[in-house]
Amino acid sequence: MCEVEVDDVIFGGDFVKLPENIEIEDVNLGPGLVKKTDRIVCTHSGILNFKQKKSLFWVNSPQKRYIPALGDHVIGIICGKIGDYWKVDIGSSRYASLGVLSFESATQRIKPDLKNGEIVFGRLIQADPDMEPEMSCIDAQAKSSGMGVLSSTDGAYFSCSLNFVRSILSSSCSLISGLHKLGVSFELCVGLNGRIYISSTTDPKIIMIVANAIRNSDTLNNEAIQDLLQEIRKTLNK
Amino acid sequence: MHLQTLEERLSHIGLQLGMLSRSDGSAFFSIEDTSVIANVQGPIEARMSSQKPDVAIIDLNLLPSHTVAPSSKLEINVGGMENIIFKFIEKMIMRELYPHSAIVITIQIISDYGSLLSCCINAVCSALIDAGIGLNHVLAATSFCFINDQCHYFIQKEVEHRLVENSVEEFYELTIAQTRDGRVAMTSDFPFTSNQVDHCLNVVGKSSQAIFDVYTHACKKKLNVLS
Repeated sequence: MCEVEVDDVIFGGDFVKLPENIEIEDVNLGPGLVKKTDRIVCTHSGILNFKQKKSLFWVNSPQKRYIPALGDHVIGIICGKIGDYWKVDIGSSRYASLGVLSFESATQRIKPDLKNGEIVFGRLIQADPDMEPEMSCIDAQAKSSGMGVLSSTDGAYFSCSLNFVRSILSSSCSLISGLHKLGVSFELCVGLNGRIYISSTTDPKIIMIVANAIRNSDTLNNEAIQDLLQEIRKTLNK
Repeated sequence: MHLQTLEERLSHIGLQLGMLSRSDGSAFFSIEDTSVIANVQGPIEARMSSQKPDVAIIDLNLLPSHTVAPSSKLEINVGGMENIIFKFIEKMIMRELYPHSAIVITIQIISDYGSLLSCCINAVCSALIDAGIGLNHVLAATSFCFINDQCHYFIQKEVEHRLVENSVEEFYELTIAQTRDGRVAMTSDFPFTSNQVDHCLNVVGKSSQAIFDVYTHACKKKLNVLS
């Protein structure tokens, strides 16, 4: 039997070695782990992480293909229309469906007119593994809350790994706060399905600068990201 | 030129994860001169005719490095090899996590100098880890070959043919794939004596450990946690 400690690489089928003073009943499990009788077994290979405050274990595994999860904010591309639903490519195994009326201030008489290739930002309202996912661009109070069609303004769209997207959204990563300090105005939209959209109303050059900064930060740690942003700040100020 | 020990052979393992930009998971695995690329796409939408309501379907394709004349000695039995590899990985993937989907695995042989089956199994396991697909266990495969009662580990045909006094027509390989907790699955294309099998089972632990260390290192490199 293979027991793996925290911060080590864990493979599918390995057991988790609980740190001292932690009982199996108090443990919370995140992605990549399941509880079997009295042991915690890994299902997805990666680095085993542990948060003391919540007694939370989870596995950070490399992944590019998005598996839909309820409530996630995702960026998708319109691929077609069937009846009152658009088919949206969110990077999962099946296309998501987006209702025509799932936009703020959309009514039966005034429906949004979206073409194939338009980029939308929405929230998953149904993400069962047995059914196709369903997304919506309004929240529970029928407000858009930042969701909706992104491609109405020019921008850059690219995809990256799911780990990278989760790490830039976490508080420990200094990329987004560093980009604020560049002193340029742009809009950044990050989808949990590994898609990023950047737009700017001032200067199109800024879109490419920010896009390249984000893409190049994939393999960098916080210090290297700060150095990269420093270099960009110098070139912008020239 | 001497018979390579297990340690010497294990020092020539290469693994690189995520080298194909358009695939969900990919791995380039090489042992000495034999090298293989495994590509995993999935879970993707399966055709309506072939999708299953409770599990994912696994589609495995093996692409040989070159096409040869049907009766040539260089020819590998692609269909047979696919079936053997499929048998190793079928129960490994957690298919019930991805109903109505397909997991497509493509193995491209880059160069084949021997020990092909173990190379393919290791490449597929690494690619599945890179793709983040749920796995029940992970396998590390080693191949053994006995010539004149000497055990060759991960035999490389070109080199070791010259070591053997009487030219041997066929190299029969015993492939043993081991999980991290010591369970084994094995296959061979020719009968081996129980002494030979015992010897291999005694040695396979060390070999699998080395291959798992290679997987671990590649995984850490991929997730940027190399200290």
